[in-house]
Amino acid sequence: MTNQEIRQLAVWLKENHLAGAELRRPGMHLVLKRSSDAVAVVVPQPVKAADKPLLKTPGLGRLLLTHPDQTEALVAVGSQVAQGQLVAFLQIGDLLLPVRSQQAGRVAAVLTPCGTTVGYGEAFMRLDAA
Amino acid sequence: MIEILSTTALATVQDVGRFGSLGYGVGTSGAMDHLALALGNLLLGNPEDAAALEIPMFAFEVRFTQDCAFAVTGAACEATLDGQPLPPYWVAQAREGQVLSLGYPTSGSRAYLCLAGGVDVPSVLGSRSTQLRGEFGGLHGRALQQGDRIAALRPGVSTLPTDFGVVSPSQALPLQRDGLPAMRVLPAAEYDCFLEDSRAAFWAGEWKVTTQSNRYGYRLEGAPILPKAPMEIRSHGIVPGVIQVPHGGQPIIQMRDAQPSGGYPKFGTVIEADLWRLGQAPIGSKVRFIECSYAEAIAALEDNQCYLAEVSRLVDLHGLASR
Repeated sequence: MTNQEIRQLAVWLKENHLAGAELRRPGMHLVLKRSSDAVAVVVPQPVKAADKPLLKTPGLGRLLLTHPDQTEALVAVGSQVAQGQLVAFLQIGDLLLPVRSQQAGRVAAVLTPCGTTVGYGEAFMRLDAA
Repeated sequence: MIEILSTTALATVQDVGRFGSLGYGVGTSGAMDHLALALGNLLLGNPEDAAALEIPMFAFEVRFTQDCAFAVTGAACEATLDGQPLPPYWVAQAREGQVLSLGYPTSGSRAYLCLAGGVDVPSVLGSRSTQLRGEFGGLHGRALQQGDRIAALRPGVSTLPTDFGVVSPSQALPLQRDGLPAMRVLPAAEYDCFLEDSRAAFWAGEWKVTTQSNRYGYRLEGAPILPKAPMEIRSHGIVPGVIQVPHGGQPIIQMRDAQPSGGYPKFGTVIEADLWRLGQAPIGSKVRFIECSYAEAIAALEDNQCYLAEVSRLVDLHGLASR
C-alpha cells in the first residue's frame, strides 16, 4: 500500500465521518484514527439520485471492463444489467475479482476507461434504474 | 458427481502425467496444457497431482448431480452455468442439477474442467491420466462418453472462496514471433545432419498444425526439412516434445500420448516449458519456432514455476481476505 493510498483512505474517512479504520493483511497492519473529536456519528446519508444509481469499485486494483482473453466488454452503454450480474473485473496482480452490479438497470454511462487503476468506492458506471 | 450430457468425442481424464514407466513402454500421458491444469487446481485448493477433464472438442456439456466447486481453465470458450456466463480461468460453485456448457473456443483449443479435490478415478502406475493406447487409467482407460458419471474427491459447498479467476498463461507468459504463437526448441541429436538451408527455413518459416494432430503427436506442414544424406536409425527412446523428421521432410512433434520409442531422425525438441503452448494451438493454425539453449530452456521452466507460485500466493491471500 502506498502513502498516496493511505492519504486517500484518510480523506474517505473524513468525508464519511468515520472515526478510523483498521486493515490487516499478511505482512501489514494499518490503523488510521481521526484526531478530531467530532466522530462516531453514524448518520445514514440520504439516498439521493436513486434514479441514477452509481456502481462503485469494491477495492483497490486495475478495473477491467473486458476480460483479457476476450474481445467484447462485459457490458456496454445501453446494456440491460440484472442485479448480481458481472459488469467488470478488478485485477490485482494475476488475480481477477468479480465486480457485480448491486442493482438492476440499464447502463447509462461508463465513467472509467478499461485498465484504470482504481481505489475503493470509486464510481465507474452509471445506471438508469430498471 | 457430474454426468456427461454431450456426445462430443475425445474428452479424457488427465493429471500431470505418469512418470517412471517409460522403461516398460508406458508413455507419460497427462494434460496437454500443464499450466491450465495446474491453475485450475490452484483455484480450487486441490493438490498438484489432482486430475481433471481435458476437453478438446466443443460444445461440451455436463450436469452436476450434486453440489460441487469447479474451475474451467485452458481454452477461452464461451462457458455458461445454467445460462449465466462464466469468464475464462474462473472458479465457481455449482449446485445440484446445474448444467455447465462449454462453447467453441475463441482462443486456445483445449479446456480443462477441474473439480474440487480432483476427479475421483483410481491411480494406475502413479497417475490418474488416461492411457488410451494401453486402455488403462482415467475412466476405464477410455475417452468419456455421454452418460458417464464422474465423481469429485471433495464435493459439496466449498469452504474456500469461489467466484474469482486468474490471468491466463497466454497473457501472463506471452511468446509470439511475427504475430504467431511461438515455441522454443532445443536442437537435437541429428540436427546437424540436415541441410543448412532446411535448418534456416525451419526457424524462419511458418508451420501449419495439420488435421493429423492429436494427443499422440502434431504433424506440421511447411517447407520440407531435408537431410544431407538419407538416414537410417535404430529405434531409440523419445519423449513428448521431440521433433521427428520422417521421409518427405514434414515434421512430427511427439505429444503427451507419444509412444516411448521411435526411429525417425530427431531435428529438435520443443522445450518442456513451452509444450502447453503447442497443446493449445488449434488445428489449422500456424506457429513458429525459436532456437534456444539448454540454459534458456531451464530458465523458461523457472519462469513458469514463478508464475504458478505467484498465483498460488495471491489465491492464498484472497482466501485469507475472504474469511
